[in-house]
Amino acid sequence: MLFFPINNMYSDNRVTDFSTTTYAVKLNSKLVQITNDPYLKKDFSENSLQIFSKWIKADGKDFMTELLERKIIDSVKRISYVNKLTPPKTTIQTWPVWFLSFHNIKTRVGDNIEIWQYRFDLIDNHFILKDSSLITKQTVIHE
Amino acid sequence: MNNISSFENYPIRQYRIILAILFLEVLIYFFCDLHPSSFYKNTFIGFEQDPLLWFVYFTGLPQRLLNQIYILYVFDYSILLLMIAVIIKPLNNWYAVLLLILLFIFYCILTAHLGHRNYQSGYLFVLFPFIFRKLKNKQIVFEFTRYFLLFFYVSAAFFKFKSGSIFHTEHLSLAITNQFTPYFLELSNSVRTSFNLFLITHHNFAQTLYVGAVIFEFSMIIGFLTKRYDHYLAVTILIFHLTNWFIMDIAPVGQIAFICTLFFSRKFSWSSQS
Repeated sequence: MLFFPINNMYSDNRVTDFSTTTYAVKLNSKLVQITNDPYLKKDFSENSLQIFSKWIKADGKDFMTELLERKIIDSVKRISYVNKLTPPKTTIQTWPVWFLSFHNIKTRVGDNIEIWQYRFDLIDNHFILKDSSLITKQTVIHE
Repeated sequence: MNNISSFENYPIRQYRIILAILFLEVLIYFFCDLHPSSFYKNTFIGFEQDPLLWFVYFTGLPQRLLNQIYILYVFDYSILLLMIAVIIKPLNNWYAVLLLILLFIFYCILTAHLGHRNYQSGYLFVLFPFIFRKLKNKQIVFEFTRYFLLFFYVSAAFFKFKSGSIFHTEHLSLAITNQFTPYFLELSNSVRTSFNLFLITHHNFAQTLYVGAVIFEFSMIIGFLTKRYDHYLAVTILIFHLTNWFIMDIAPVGQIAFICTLFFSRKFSWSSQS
């Protein structure tokens, strides 16, 4: 919590091997680079893209969705909470466009936006791309 | 506002230095396109276990704000103008109150859209003493925020002991495996990515650095006993964060002004008056 001074960052390790994963946005098959951005922008892009990709992979469910399903039995009340505390379903289409505009990239009708997941393995002291998979793909239908 | 004798007791120059550092941090956020209007029409949010953020979003205020671009522009400029106002008049508590409210809403928006809790919340805590008018109240609140800061770092060391990670040789090598992946994907190699690879493949050296970091964090416990070494503690934590940025790509922007209050703790605290 914001007002609770507990900091357990990097005390536990969820990583169990030397493989790693990252996500990236492609516009018309061209990778949108984030590492040349100023630090905070790069950090925000990396984290939010990762959380967004995981949200898509989990069929639009996240920690909050599951918490509300578990804790609130009254369906009317639960829907009201879900509407305020989870992203609307249209976010799947709107957020990638927002991400591009955040990087000052304008999209045009017919542009293809893809989000990819990349996995790397540590081989001979270097990270080597192991595989990649498409998370979501969409075509821009209006500017 | 206050009579002359009490006015002279305020360490105004030191207040201004801290607020100027805070202003620089806010400018860095703005320069990095992280300001209220940059979140216009961003509908993706993700919450972790922080009920405070849930309550703010349950009001619907941030969601409504993010659909009003002109209000967001006003939000942007209000933060900058209030920052300048508090530097010019650090004893005007209303400027600080308004600024704190705006920065708190911004923190909630940033954290919700980032999708995970941001530890760089120092830019809120540093303003707490400024929202009080009387010198004594400012001093008491400064004491509170100082202990909060110390506890934050001591707790970090405590958890590393408790989890046993400090005794696990591969811990840091594993923990930093994910830190530079986008750089490897984009082939943005630098001395930092090379050093990252070095630490991943040299577990003992990496773990020595990790133990050093835990000692740095734990050294904050000295601050619970005396204020005499606070400036050393501030330097220790700044070095710790600088190293974190180099090794882990985690920068402390948003936390620096708060840490720098330790340089002036004897001026800011009530004990200096006694």
